[in-house]
Amino acid sequence: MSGPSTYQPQNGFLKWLETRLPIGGLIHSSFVAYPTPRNLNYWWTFGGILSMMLALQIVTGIILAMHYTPHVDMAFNSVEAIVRDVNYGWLLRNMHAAGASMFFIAVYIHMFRGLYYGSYKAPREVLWILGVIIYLLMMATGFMGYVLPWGQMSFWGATVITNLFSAIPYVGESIVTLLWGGYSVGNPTLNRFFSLHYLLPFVIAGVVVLHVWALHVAGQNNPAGVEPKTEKDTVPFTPYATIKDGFGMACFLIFFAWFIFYMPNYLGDAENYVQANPGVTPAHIVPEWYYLPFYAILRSIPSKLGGVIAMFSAILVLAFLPWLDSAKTRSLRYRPLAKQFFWIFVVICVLLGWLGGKPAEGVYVTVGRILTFCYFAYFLIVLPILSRIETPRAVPNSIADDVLAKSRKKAVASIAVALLAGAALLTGGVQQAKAADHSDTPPSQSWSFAGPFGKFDRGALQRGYKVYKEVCSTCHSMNLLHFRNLSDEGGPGFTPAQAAAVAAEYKVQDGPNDAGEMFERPGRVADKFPAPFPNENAARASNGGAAPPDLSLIAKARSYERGFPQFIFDFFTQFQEQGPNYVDAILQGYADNPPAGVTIPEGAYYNKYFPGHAIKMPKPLSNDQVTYDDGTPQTVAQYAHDVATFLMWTAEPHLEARKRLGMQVMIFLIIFAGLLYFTKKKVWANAH
Amino acid sequence: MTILPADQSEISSDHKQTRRDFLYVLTGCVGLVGAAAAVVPLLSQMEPDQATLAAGGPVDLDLSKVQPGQQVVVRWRGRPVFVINRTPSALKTLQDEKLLSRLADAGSEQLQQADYAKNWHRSIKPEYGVYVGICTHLGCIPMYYPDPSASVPTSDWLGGYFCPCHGSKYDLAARVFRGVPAPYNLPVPPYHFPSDGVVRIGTNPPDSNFDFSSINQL
Repeated sequence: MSGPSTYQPQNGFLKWLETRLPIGGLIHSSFVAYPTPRNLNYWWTFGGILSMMLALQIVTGIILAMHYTPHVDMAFNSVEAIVRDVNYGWLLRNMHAAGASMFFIAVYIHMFRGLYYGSYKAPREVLWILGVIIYLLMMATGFMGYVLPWGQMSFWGATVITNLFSAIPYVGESIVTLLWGGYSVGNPTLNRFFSLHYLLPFVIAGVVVLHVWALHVAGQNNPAGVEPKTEKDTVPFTPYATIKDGFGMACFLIFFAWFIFYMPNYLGDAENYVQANPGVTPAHIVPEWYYLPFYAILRSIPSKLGGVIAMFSAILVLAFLPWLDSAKTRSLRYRPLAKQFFWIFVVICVLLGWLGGKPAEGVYVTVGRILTFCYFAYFLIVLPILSRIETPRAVPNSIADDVLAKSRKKAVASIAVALLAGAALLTGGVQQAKAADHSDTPPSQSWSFAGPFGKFDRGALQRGYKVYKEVCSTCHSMNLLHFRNLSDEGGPGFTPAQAAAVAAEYKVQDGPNDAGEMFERPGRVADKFPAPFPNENAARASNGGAAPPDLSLIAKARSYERGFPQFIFDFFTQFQEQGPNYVDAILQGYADNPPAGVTIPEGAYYNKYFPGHAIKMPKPLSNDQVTYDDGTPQTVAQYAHDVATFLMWTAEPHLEARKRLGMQVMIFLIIFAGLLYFTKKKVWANAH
Repeated sequence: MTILPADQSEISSDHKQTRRDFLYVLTGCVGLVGAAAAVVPLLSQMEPDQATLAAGGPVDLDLSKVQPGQQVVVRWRGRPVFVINRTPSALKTLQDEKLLSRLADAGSEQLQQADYAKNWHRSIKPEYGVYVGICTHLGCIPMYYPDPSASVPTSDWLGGYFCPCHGSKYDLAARVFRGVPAPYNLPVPPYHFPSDGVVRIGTNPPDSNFDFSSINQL
């Protein structure tokens, strides 16, 4: 894609092919001989990382689509079936879900890199605008993908975001109807979102080709921001840039694998483990973290249409950047004033992200408005003025000069620190956004399945199953658990015969028979645990108006705020046990008399840890209620601990496999990254 | 600066060269191993999932529903399984020389059944036949014509199965005729009688470990 090719095929077949389809020459000139500035730093590896992430998302996405069912009644369970029953389904699902976040982390770094080094300036305006288009497509794809699991956040996110379009005058309502395909978000919406979510990544891939084409026409920008002049300024793409990108990708994969194997739910919302319910809106609707800054801008404008315009403008303004900033000097390295404003802008974006996760009330609204103003001011006031009044420092004569005069280590370190701090703040916003109503925080228990080497305690699983069966199962269903799971590896350790015996104790409805009637038969291992009530209304009617929730996923569907700075430590200590802590605490949190000042309505009970304290479930456990055969103390605390362990297993039956494979992958990636690093050093030894 | 003798410097640069090559080869190999390992989950996910495997478990049929001369079709692993109760006259026909001379594999020499069904009636109990109802030609479901007839479904019919797709013929022990497109007898699935009145399709009798996937053709 850059001038006449120097490609000389040696092999007879390649020569023959080259005269008919010069694909070898195209690849050679684009990815081998292509001259790349020799002073590129590691921020430039994110282009390659993004290509890798796009490919990974497409591969894992195509696989998930082989098992997913886009129907409102089946979507949620089909995603759970992928995670539970498909070979390596949990891995592929975690990769795809965490992959979306990684994709956005990489794209934000890529964009800020472009902003900092002036990569949008002539002659790269079209390259930049294509990037903005890719980013918009990514946002649409990510949003529609988040709807597909059909959890509570999926449904309500879809409702809120599609309603944005109703703000558009005259045609808004029609657009919303077209998105919904009905009177509200429903099955037609889910189906079309699935179709579009499958289509858009390929559109992105197409625009990426244009993006790379434009890049190879204009050539890469570089940290010095001066164009290459002589041969000495550049190195061939292969091996120099390839090996450096390879090392960058391997490091990024380590970061990615940390989420896949150890923190799969860190960036997600516990509420999305509850199936979509059009009748109940969650307490806090929060978009995924990567939309939060724009969500904050949307909410800070006190007008429906105004908010929508502001939100879309916040993205579209990027496309005009090449003309808003008219300074001749590209790199902010040589523009001390603009550099300071750039870092202020980064902080503004992070703060907006943090605000997006906060409730839209009180001081947050005011701060949101100020920050929204600052966001737009950076593009519309600061950059145009600075580019006219600022006197830049002298730029190096050539890239080779820049390489010789290097003392950049400090700068890179400070940027890394700033980005880490920014990421920390952003996650802070997410974590705080997840806060439920303020209740006492459940105490952290010690769990055998916590940490990188965590394993379930078989005894606790078996005892927990007993407590579930004798106590919980009289009111709570367990729809995702099958009898066969009892003998699965990494579970309570029943033999297949024992699991079959358990199944045979249950009566399962089957039919219709030849006479057209339903009948009951003994359970088989393929059956799921029968629910105590035939339907939700029956469950509600029998339990004082509150349907007992299904317990299959409860240990992942409940969470609580960890607060700053605890959630940062959580990332490193792999703390993921909010769910079991909560279940354990709820079971022990009953008190006969509520504390002074708390009134509990008729038919409800006081529970210290339940949001709002008034729980409809009476105290379910008392000492010596369930007989343990193994001599374990028969106390409420022990029951609670055991049943919480059991429920963690039902929520994630492959937890042990996840952590075991994670360790292997981590060790491999660290070795591979190390090898790539030394290879890269060797390769670049001749270039310096 | 030390000036090395020419040959010595050559050795040292050669040595460097090998070390570097070794690093490149090692890195490439480790990368290839990683890529190969990554293919495992991508392919393994296309295997039948745990729910599908569990749903392929054994199926019971109450034999009181199968009167002499009748056939009941049970669905096992998504396939029709014929359970027939053969009348004494039908059993007699199965041993008739006139029929045997028309069969391609009268002695069940081809591996289309377990040893416990390798006999003249191709079943455990002579009266009850259990066969997978998939024509070994191209997978259609053969139709049940138990009664001898001069013309239906073909001339000089002795009773058996007739495949409407391409005219393959089987007798009431699901043995294939000569001169029809189907190459093999219908397979006998693993089955046994846990009690007198019940047939369980999908598991072998306790004394057999016949592997159903080892048969010639399903």
